[in-house]
Amino acid sequence: MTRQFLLEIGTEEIPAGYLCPAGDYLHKSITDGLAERRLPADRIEVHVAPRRLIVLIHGLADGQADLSKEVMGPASKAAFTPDGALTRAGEGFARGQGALPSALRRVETPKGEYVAVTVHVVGRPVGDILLEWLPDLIRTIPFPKSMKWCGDTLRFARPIRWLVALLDQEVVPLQVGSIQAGRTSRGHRLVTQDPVVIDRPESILPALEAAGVLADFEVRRARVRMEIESVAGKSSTRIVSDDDLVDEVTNLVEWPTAVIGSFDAEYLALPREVIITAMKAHQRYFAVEGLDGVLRPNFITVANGRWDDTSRVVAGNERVLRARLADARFYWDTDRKIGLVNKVDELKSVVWLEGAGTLHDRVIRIERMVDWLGRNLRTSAGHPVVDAATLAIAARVAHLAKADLATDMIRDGKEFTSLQGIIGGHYARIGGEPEAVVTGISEHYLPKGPGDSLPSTTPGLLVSLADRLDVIVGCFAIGLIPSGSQDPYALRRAANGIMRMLLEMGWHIDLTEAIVFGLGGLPGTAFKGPAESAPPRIQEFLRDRLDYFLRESGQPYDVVAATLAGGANDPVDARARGSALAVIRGDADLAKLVIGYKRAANILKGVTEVIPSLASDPMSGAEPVEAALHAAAVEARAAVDQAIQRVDYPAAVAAFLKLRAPIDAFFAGVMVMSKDDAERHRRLGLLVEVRSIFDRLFDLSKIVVEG
Amino acid sequence: MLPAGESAANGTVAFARRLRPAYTPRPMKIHDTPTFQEMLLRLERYWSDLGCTILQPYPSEVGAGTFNPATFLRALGPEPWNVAYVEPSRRPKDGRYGENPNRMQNFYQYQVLLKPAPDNVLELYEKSLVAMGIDLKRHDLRYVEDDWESPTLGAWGLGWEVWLDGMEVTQFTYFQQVGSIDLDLTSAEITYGIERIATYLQGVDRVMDLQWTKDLAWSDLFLKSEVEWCHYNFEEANTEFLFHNFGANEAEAQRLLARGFVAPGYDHVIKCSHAFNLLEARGAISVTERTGYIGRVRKLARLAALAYQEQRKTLEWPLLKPGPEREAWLAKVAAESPA
Repeated sequence: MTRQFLLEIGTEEIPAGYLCPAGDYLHKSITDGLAERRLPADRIEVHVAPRRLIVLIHGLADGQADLSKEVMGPASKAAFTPDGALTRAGEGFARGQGALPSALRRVETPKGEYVAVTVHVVGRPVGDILLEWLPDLIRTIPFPKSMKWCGDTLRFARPIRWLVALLDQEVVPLQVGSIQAGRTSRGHRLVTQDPVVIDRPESILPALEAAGVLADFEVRRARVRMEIESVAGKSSTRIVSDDDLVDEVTNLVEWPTAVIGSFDAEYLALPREVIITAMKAHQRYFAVEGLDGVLRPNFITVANGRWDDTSRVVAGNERVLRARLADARFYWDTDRKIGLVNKVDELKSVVWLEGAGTLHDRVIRIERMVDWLGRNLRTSAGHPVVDAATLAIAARVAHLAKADLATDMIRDGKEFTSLQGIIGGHYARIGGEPEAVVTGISEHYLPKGPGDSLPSTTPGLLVSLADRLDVIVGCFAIGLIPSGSQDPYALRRAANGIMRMLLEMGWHIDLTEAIVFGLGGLPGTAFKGPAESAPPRIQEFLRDRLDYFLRESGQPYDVVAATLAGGANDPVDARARGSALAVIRGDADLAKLVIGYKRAANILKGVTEVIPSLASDPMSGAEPVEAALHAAAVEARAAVDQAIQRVDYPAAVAAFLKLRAPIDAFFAGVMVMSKDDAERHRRLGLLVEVRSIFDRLFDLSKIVVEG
Repeated sequence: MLPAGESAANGTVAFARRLRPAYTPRPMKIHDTPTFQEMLLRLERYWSDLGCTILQPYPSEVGAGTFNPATFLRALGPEPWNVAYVEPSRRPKDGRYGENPNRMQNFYQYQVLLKPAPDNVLELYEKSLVAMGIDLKRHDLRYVEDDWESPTLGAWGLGWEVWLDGMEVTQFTYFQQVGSIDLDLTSAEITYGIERIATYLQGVDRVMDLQWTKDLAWSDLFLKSEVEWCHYNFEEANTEFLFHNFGANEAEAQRLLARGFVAPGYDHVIKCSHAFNLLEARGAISVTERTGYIGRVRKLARLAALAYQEQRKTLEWPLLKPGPEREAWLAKVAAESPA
């Protein structure tokens, strides 16, 4: 016979963002916990709603099956005296397992002879197990923040106010803190005050639905969508789509009812992003647009409950939005009167980070870096990336990019902080800046994350690069260095952005030079610790990011390690070298070459004497294998030189592979560490020569060779 | 911490019984639109009928009802405490010269502290809205996550902002720490934004248009002074005087608290905090300095909290009624003190 089980943890409103992760945790820990306790079940359902977490177990075993298991005890030597009587250790083991001493057996194991006993475990009824297990499970549900609400140690996201635990029709009297499980649930706060009595597990969802609660997240979300779309459809408009908002709203309500409200059309003079943010950030309203994509003076909100007449709900929400839009317009009007250009000077009074100056100092450094990048960025063909006209635009963007941080909209209107850059763009346009400058300002915070798009224009890219480089060098200089999971200034994200922009644009730059130049813009007083320690630390930090990107792009980790050891200053170049090496990574010749390389490197590492450079006619008197390797090396060097010049790394690695046979023959044919000084010096010199050919591009010793 | 988990849980129930949960507010006419003062009276009556001590505002400038020692200090320690009071709150930076419909540098909070928080605290709160004249059946009431924190007081808790038709009408917090000290009992702090609720009940858009009495509007009473205060806060305040004030009050608070004078000591902590708020509104404190000033006030707040705890312990918690709970606490003190 199988059983149905229901657990409902009834709470005060749990934060929307906590619910689904808590549901996932419950599902997993119930699934694992049942298996661990030998309790098979057909199906586990978990439902989450603001005031409840529900677990339904269908087809749950009535109890554990009995179990016979072999338990290993101490070694026979320890369990028995030489004459075969039990020692204290032997007796203790038997007693601990509830077995008679006569039940102990001797078993042979690879580690010697041990005693063992077969223990028969009688399966326990499911109710007893749940009663014992679930209180602990409830206490261990993880939440981002949890609280105490009564004197004991119980913590939860918000107070637990009731528990329902039913095994078929029977209450399982769980106790968590001072809360005792029963069969009484509660409905929607405002729909019914009556207790909701659950007679058996399967009836919980219908019973709650009757009491104004859609407890199933999927059902509720579907209803949210249907409600908002139908409300929008009725007025020939559509929702400005926002899936995250749908999910959030779904977990803010137990019974979704969408209503549409309006605001004064004069607010449509505000930028679209401002209106949408004003509605979304605090109020979780959906913006509404016409089928032409133009914003309408309307909003849709998903209320929590069931009403015949929603007019009061609508009126209340309209009043709130009016105040929010009035705030936004107050900022908008004040800022416009002053003008963005005049805000640049105000940045002088805003400290960026202690020691690294004001935001105005940053502006100067970003301008400086933009200029440097403009002069130093190159395409793979070696041409400058930026012409003078574009650089002039980028310089203007750099000058104005941070000015919106001093506007009322961004500084005072906390919900609009997410619009930094975009707001600056709007004010720049009003101030008569050319459209290219406007775009550059708006997009210089891009990319904001791994999936985000890059700035679409060269000035936007230049300022974004310069901004991020300045953040990184500035933070490192004053000692704010990320470690482990600690990265409060999001320097890794900044560096990832730099890598993405350079790699996707195919722009060459020497990052070490950029770092040194960037650090040069900081006052000497900024540095915490010796100034000369900053560049290597930043280099290492950027190199780690590049390592990550190249591996993400599919290059094997050892290829990336070999490539970056050969130089990590220019990410685009490193990528090209890495991909050439990756192509031959599986080649048997490469494996042999690597073995030869490592052998050469090991020999050279052990040499303590100074190795003289090769004579002008180096191979006179040499063995044929030496002469052959020397000739091959001369040829390979020329080929690699040419390949590097043409940035043709596949040709370079092809030239490498040609050295494989002569190297092998060399090692097979001669002994390097000859007693004869001339011989030894010649051979060592030859190895130095050969190794240097590879080392210009890679450190081949990083390549992992199996076997 | 409480000596034993079990007795604590029992204790919670015992304290909760002190409130009278059976109380049902008087039925209200649906179209009843109370004046501001009538609304306040209804709230006072409601919480008074439930058994709360009704207090008056603290006679010095505070940024919120939490600063009132009736909340800040009384939330500490094992003594039960249920209190309600109006608190005129000063937020110099929030002034808008009376032009913003609901932002002022001086507004009113209605503050309730229930310690420990009774199990039915949300229902009690909802009934208080009904008592004020809000027909909950016709509105959308929502508890939206908002974890409150006061860096200056070293206080934080978890809870919600309560939305009535999308409007934030109340901040509801289960205190977890006050004065950077873990709490023995969890208090529920209910802070009503009463002007907002009143605009709602009266159906007006601006706080300035609220009917305080049948004859007088908010603007008749306060608009002129609100505008003056804004000029003072943003333009006129003498920063040299305020910086001096901050330092002098800080020193005085430290001196008094070190000598065990909790009430006057804490009073100077409040004065320090207000001087800081004024300086900030005046733009005299940079972003980096800001953290330092807040830290200084927080340190003082902690000193006050510690001094208060010590004092109550010495007094053997007079508000803790005789019973096993009290015995357990006294036993704990006896165990701690050297023989």
